[in-house]
Parts: sequence; C-alpha cells; structure tokens
Amino acid sequence: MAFRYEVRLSGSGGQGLILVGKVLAEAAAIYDGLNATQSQSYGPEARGGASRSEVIISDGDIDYPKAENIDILLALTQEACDKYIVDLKEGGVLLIDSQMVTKIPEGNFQVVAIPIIQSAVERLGKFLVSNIIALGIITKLSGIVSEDSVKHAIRSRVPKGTEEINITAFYTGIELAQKWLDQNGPLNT
Amino acid sequence: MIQTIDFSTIDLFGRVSALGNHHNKYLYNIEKNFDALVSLIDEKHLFDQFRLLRFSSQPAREMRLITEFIKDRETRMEMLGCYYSLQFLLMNIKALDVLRMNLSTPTDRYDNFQRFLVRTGYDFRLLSGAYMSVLLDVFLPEDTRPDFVVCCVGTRVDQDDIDLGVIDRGIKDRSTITKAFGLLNHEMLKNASTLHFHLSEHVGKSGYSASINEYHQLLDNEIQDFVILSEMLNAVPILGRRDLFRQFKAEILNRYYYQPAQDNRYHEGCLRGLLGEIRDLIMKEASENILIPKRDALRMLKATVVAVKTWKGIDRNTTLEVLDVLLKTDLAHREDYLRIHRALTFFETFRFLYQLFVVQEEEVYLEDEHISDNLQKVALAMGYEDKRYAPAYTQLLIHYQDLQETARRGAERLVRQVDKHLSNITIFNSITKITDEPPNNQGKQINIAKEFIKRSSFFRGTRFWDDVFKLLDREDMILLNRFTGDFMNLPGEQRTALIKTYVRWGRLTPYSLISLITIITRRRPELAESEFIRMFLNEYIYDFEGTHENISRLCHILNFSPRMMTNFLALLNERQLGKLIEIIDRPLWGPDIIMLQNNLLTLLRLYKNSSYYFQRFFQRVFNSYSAYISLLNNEPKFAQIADGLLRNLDNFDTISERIEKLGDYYDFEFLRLGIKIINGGSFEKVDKQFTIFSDNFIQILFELCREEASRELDNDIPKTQDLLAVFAAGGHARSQSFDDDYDLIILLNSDNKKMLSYANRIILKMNRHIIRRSIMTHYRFADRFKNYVTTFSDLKNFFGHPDESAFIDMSQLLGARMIVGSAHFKDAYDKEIVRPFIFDHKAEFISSLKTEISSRWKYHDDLGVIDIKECPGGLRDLENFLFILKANFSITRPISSKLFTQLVTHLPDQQVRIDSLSRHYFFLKHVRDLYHLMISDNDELQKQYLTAIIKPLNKSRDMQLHSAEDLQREIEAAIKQNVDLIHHIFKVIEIG
Repeated sequence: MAFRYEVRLSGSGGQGLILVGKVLAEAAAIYDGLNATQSQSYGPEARGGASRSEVIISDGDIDYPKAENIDILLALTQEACDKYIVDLKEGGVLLIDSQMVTKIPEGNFQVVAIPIIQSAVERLGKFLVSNIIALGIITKLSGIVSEDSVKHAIRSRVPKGTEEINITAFYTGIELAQKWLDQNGPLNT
Repeated sequence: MIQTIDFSTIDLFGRVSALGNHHNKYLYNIEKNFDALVSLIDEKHLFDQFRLLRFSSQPAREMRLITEFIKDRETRMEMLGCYYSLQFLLMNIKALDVLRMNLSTPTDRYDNFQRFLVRTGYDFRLLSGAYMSVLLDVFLPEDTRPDFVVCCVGTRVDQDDIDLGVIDRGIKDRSTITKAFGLLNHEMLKNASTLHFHLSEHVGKSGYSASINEYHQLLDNEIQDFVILSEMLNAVPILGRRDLFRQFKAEILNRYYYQPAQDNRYHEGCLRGLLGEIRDLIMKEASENILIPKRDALRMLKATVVAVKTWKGIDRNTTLEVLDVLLKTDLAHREDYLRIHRALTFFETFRFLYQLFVVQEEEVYLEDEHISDNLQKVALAMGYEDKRYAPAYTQLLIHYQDLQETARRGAERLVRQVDKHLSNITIFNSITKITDEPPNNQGKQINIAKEFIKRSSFFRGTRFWDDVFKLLDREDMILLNRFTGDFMNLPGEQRTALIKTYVRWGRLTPYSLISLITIITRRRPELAESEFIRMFLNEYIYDFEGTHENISRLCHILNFSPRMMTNFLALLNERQLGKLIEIIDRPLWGPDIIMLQNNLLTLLRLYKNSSYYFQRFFQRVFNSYSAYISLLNNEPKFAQIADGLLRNLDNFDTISERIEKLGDYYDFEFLRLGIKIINGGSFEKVDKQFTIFSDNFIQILFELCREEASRELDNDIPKTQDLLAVFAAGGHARSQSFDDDYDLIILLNSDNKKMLSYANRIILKMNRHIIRRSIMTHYRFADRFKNYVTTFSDLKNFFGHPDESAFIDMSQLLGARMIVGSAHFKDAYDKEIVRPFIFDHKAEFISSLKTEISSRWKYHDDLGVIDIKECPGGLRDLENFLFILKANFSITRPISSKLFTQLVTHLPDQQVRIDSLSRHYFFLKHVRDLYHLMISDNDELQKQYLTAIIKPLNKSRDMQLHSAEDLQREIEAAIKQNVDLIHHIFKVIEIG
C-alpha cells in the first residue's frame, strides 16, 4: 500500500515557508522520484500575516489534495500553532520554535521544541535562514526525503550567492534535530 | 544520421545561468532527456515539425506530436516535460530580448512594460495551457471526460504558480476530475509551475473542482471573502466546456456587477470587501527593510481596478485590459488611471523580473548582502543604466518608492469615487437617511442599532464601513442620537447581547469598531464614562485575541489614524490598558511590525502610567500633531521638532497664530520631558531643560502680548524700559518641573497710571493664553493690591507697615526668579525692595519663618499620609529653611544646587548636613515630579500607588527599590532626617 506523508509548515508572512514547501516538494518529486503536491495559504489568512504551506508526499497517486491528517506540523508562531494543531494526527509531530511558541497545546502528539530563529541568528547571523534550518530539522525528523535531494532542491530554489549559507543552515537544522533525538530518543513514527 | 541541436548558437546555458536558480529544474530536465527526445524526433523524421532553438508559436501541436509517436506513458511524460522545459527557457529569453530592444528606443517606459507583460503573459499561457491540455488528454481522455471547465484566475504573467478554478457539474464527477488533476499537478510541479486550486479550497467538498450549486450554497447568503470574489471576477476559461463557464458567469459572476435600479447587495458586498482591503493596504507604511510589490502596490491597484470594473460593468479580464477601457471611456478620471497604469506596469514588471532573475519569493530583503547584485540585474533589464550620480539599482529603488506613492494617490482618489457610488446604492440607506421628525404613528419605528447589525450580517468578512459612519459623524447628530438612543433604550439583556454582537463584528474590522466608538464619544463626550461605552470597551478588550493578525491591525490603525487611536486609548481605564498591554506584548515576527508594536506599547504604557494631569498635555499634542506619535520612542527627534516649532514662530503672519504655535511648543516640550523622566531619564537634566523651555514660553508670550497690546494703543505706547519685569515665583522659580500652576509676580518700578494700565493689559492677555494650556496662574500680590501688576510703591507701602503674614510675601519675593526684565531693573529691585525690607529686617523675617516651620510640624504630625510638600521635613520646610539662610547671609540666588554649594561656603562645618539636605531635596522633588506625571497632580502621596514610580526612580537614581514599602521607607527616612538636620543646623548656628 502506498504511503502518504503530510507536512504543514505554518507561521507568519515573510518567514519563507512557501519556499520551504516548494523545496520539499521538488526534492521529493524531482530528485527522489516520489509523488508530491504543494499548496499554500490564500485569502484573508495570507493577508493577515499568517502563512501556511502544505506538502503531501506519496509513492503512489495523490488523489485527495488537502492535508487533513498531518504527520508533521511546523509552527513558527503561537498563532499558527493554535490555529493548525487541530489537523495534526494522533501521534504526529509538532515542531515548534521554542521562543515564539510558548503555550504548547495539549494533545496526543509528540512535541519537538527547538530555538530555530535564535539558532539562525546566533549561528549564522541571519534570521532569514530560519526557514531552511526548519527544513533541515523536518528532513531529519521525518526521513521522508533524502538529505541529498533536499540539498539539490535548495540549490535550485534560493537566490544566487546565498546557496552556501542556505546549505549551512540546512545542515544546522539536521544537527539540531540530531541533538534533540540524542537527548530525547527516537520519535514514534 | 541523427540530427543534433547545437545550443551554443543561442547560448542557452549561458543565458539561463544569469537567471534565478529555480531555472535549474528546467536545465536538469533538458540535460536528462533532451538527447533522447531529439533521437526520437529524428527517428520519426519529424525534425522539421519542431522549433527547438526558438520559442515555438505552436507548442500544443508539437506536444501532441510527441504524444503521438511515443507510446510508453512514462517516456512520454519525461519527453513532454523536457520539451516544456526547453520552450519555457526559450520563452523567457525571448521576453527579455524583446524588452531590452523596446527599452532601448525612446518610447514610454510604462507602455513598454505593458507590452512586455501582455506578451509574456500570452506566451506563458500559450505554453502552459498547451502542456496542461496535452497532459489532461492523457490523464482524462476525451471519451471518458466528464463536463468541467478550467478557468485561469490569477495574474497571466505569474510563473511561480498557476492559479486555477475548476467548475464541474457536481459531486458525481468529482473523484474522476480530482484524480486527473492530481496527476496533472504532479507533472506540473516536476516540470513546470505548481498549480493552485484556491477557489476549490474554499468552495465545495473534497477535490480540485466545485460545482455552480456549491458556489450558490457558499455565496448566496453571505458575501464571504472578497479574495474569492476578485479571483472569480478575473476568471478566464482556458480548457473544457465554455457553456459551463457561461452558466457560471450568468448565475454567479454577473450579480457582483452594478445593475441600475435593481438589488445590488452582491455588488455592494464586493465593493465593501475590496475597499476594506485597499484601506488596510494604504494603512501599511512602506517598509525600510523589505520590498513586497504585492503588498506595497499591486494588491491595492488591482483591487481598485476590480472595484471600478464592477461599478462600470466593464467586461474585460486582466487589470491592464480594464484600465485600457477606463482610460478611453472615463476621461474625468484619466489622470488617476494613468497614475495607476504607471504604477501597475512598473510593479508587475519589477516583481516578474525579480522572480525571474533572483528567486520566486514575494519579499525582497534589502539587508541581504547580495541584494545590490541581484537588483542590478533587474534594474538593467528594466532599462535603467549606471549613471555617474547613481548605479542602475539605486535609480530603480528610488522609482520604486516614488511609484508606491503614485499608486497610493491614484488608489485613494478612485476609492473616494467608489465610496460615493457605494453611498448611493447601499442597502443601509433606508435606515440611515432619517430626519429629526417624530415617528409617524402608522408603523413601529425600527431600532437602527439592531437593524444595522442585522443587515450587515450579509457582509460578514468585509471591512469597509466609512460611508455609513460618515453619516453617523454628521454635525446635525440626528442619526447618531437616534443610533445611541436606540441602543441605550433597549432592555438590559438585549443591550448586552447587542453590544456583544457589535464586538464580534468588530473583531474582523477593528478599524470600524474603533471608529464607531470614537465618533460616539467625540460627538457625545458625556457618554465616554457611561455604562454603555464601558461595556463596549470591556467586551472588546477582554475578548481581544492577541493573534499576530489582530495585533498588526491595531498597530496599523495607530500608524494610519493616530488621532483616532489615541482618542480610543484615552477612553480606556487602567485595567483595560493593562490588559491590552498584556495581550500585545508578545513575540511577533518581522522587524517592521515589531517597530509598530513598540510604538503601540509605548503609547499604551504612556496612557496607563500617566496621571490625568499629564494626559491633558499629550492628548493636546496628539490632537494637533498626531503624525508625530510614531516618534514617541525617538526623543532626539522629538526635541528637534520642538526646536523647529520655536524657531518657526516668526514665520507666522499674525500674533494669534504665533501664540497658538508657542503653546504647541510648550505642550510638545512638556510631553517630551515628561516621557523622558517617566522612562528613567536624568532628573537634573530634565529639570534644567524644563526651566529653559518654560522660561522661553513666558518670555516669548510676554513679547507677543506686549506687541499685541502696543498695537491696540496705536502710537501711544508708554516707555517701560528697565521699569517692568516678570518674575517666576513658587515652583517655577525653583526650577520645579511639571507644576500644575504658575506663580508670577509682575513688578513695575513706576506709578505712572498709563504705564500701569498698559502693563495690566499685557498681563491680562498673557493670563488668557496660559490658562488655555490648563495651567492655573497665580499673581502674587494681585489680591492684595487689586492689580495683576504690583508697583514698587505698593510693596514699599506694604512692607513699611507689615501685617503678621508679610513674611510669606517676603519669602515669595526672596524665592522669585526674574524671567523678563533688565539688569538695571534687578539692581533697583534688590536695592529698593529686597535689601531694605528683607535683608535689613532679617531677624523678624527669620523668626516668623521659624515659627511657621515649628507650627506646621505640630499641625502635620501624624496626619497618616505623606504630604511631600507640607509634611514636617517636606519640600516646604526645606524651602523655608533655605529662605532663612538666604536672608541670613543676604543671598539673592534662587533655590538650586548652586545655592546649596554657596551655603556650604558660609557654613563649612555643616557641609555634611547641607549635602544631605540637598540630596533629600532633589530626591523628594523627583518623587513629586513622577507622582504628578504618573499618578496625580497631588502632593499627598497615596502609598498604594507608589509602585508605579519605582522603575524610573531606580533607573535614574541607581536605587534598588523593590516595592512601594521600600520607597515609602526611603521617603519617610528622608523627611525625618530633614527635620533633625534643620533642627540641628538652627541649634548650632547663630541666625538672625
């Protein structure tokens, strides 16, 4: 039976989550030979500063286009966390920025709290690469796409001249996720 | 022999390497499959049927050929993807070459941009439409295909994604269509642009499509989201059943267009949505760090054009097509359309080229280290060239800013026209067009407050109500009185329920709710304290959800309508302000919004931590200079503005204007220094600056009033040189800041009646203007001598035969500081008044003051409150003590730190004690200033409120106070020590 993996990336406008969605979908579809769809927020929610991007990855056909049984939810703001947690499936992974999301909702899911934005600023001197750090964490935690594919996809999506810092940010994310796994044990997937 | 293609002839890879990295996907496809594709074409001897080195004008035909001769589905998909990738790159190279050629000729830049956008949009739709059509033929062959129509709903030229709306005949076909579009979407993601099916995310049930019935179900009873509406109104059928689209247009789309003399509810809703969006965008100030063409201009411009399109019934699809029609037909507003055209073509071209050359993102971060290189590519493509005065990208950025303003102006002017049209057709007219006449007895009068909210439910989600509120804000107040009357006359529970409904409505449109509340309280100030408004505010504040969106909206309202926002905040009590601060003070994303958030928090804290006395000052400043509210966190800029106001006085023609502006200067400085001391600024510096500006104020006011009085007397002006002076007495004489009253002594060294009348006339005028600043003026001796102006003769007569309270008047004179007057006058004053009547009779004066001190010690003992001025050891005692020493040592210097230093030279043995008294004196004055500004202009300190002033005291004086009790102990210790120190000094030195 074909697997279906749903990722929702949520936060605020300007956090680069649409780009992360595109990179993840292209890594899966172009470089890993999987099926993928990507969609993004629209309408008033996008006007008000909230931002949402979704990626569905499968090794079979993706008939149903909407993500409603999320495997991993990234929330970079409290508002996004509160708003989108409802669609996280039982046992799913809630990945939050530990400084922006301080009130963690209750539920039957696994919480991974990492200071993503702070790490971007402290380690790379740029809050703008927080999105790519988050992508690294998701890649490591989910294992749904290969690191190499994501790396290729990043190089094919970011502006010229910023490739190296983005790749460094990606590996920073991988490292942060590994550290979290070392401290907390493997996720139940 | 296999034919080959030599890309070096067109430098394909070289040209593409100059474009953004996202083109790698297409190069990857070409590198992976192109040789195989060429072999297959060659094998079938179809080489002459393909155009592979230039953009093909018939991509659909060529793609169909591929599907015909490649039977294996997987290979077919790969080859089609490869062909698409090649054509896509050729298309973009062609577009850039044509644009460059056109811009090198001396033609209108914006017309060239338009041609570029139209042509590139056309080519992109030709290519992507062909690809989608061929793929759908594979995934959903004609013979099994249910009815559907695919509409393009986004901007034609956009390559980052393709926005589609798919309309079907109902749920029975849904899974077949969705499966096919799922496959299509996957191929598009791999080889082309991602598809987005926004309309079907909102309309209908699971799947990529929705039926006309589902549109009816969603949209018949509520206007819903205007974004859906504007996408629908842009829909152009590109694939499938045209008859289905015609039906969709007739049943769903047409009702959003204006229909004269018919029900225009849908049109009205559409306009309310669009105008709300435009206003929200206009509210957002241009960012310093980020360019976002969509937010900065494009959304605003497109929404404006769609609004006019539905009003004027223009049956065109793209914004540029609609603009073309308007430019030709609506000549009265041609200038506005031209502005919009210039801005639209510029921003659309900029966005397209940025995404082509750099990255498919909406935000352009100017702090990025590579930004100059990237923007330079865009600038060169847009026809800018490096000049000696600025590189191409700098010129581009300057144009960006200019055209943003152009876009805003054009949109604002057209919105006013649409607003007028809206007020003519609105369904609210039947309840808002009322007269003051009593209701006729034939029918029950409707409750306007209830009816408005009932009718507005259809428009849920829209945010433009200015047209209705304009009527509420009319001078005659007929509608406002009826509205508030209808509201307040409702039985308690109904009224509460209605308030809750209004607040729920206002959550989506805070601008409207705040506007409504401030109109009511501005027109009817007596309601500001009413239960009705209190409930409104409580409901709003305690129900306020601190989301990024909600907080941002409030921040933007402050930025856009600072006066309205400050009027609103002035209505909130301390608890409500505290609650709002708690909600808003949370981490938000983005430097721009954080700056606005800080402004709002500063303002909220200012209201929360200020006494009504201080609020009077800043409310006046905010009302006159609301644009400067954004500078509250920028004290140096505030100081610059105050200086500018002062220096600008002479540029006004009339004296009354100058006096008005002088008053503004006073308020501005009062506010600036008030904020500075509340924020923990240096007490000494603030005190010094306060004295400078308040002296400036009195000096200039005196000059202006003298000029005015002189004009009234024509040429008959008495000469008062060296004869007239203004002295500050009381607090102002001692450089006491933030006093709520002004003690002045006006002295005239002449008995000339005419001169006295002239001087009185000047002071009368001054008095009027000072009182307008909410400062009470007291004229020492005015009661006694029945004149504002006191002559030397009056003083000499009085002090020659003093009564028992004369020592108080003497101490006033001894403590006074001359603000207006000459050195000659001061010499005469010291010689004729101070020396003979005070210094030469110091024994009596000192004895009276000492008696006063000890009698007040008895009176104030154990009163239970700390009266920082009058209590034993308080400010009054310290000042009386200083008067005694001044008289004793014949010192005329006003009370200041220098006076303490001077006293030490007379009493070197008492240095430690005098230093302690000096320290306590300035500490108590500091406490009093803060208490006046932050709590109340009262000298009796309420212990429970002392907590508020701890933070600035700790910061400014480097103290470690943790609680009100700590501060109270500190004050009590100071005043107790003062009593002991004064007592001791009196005991050990010989006085009098």
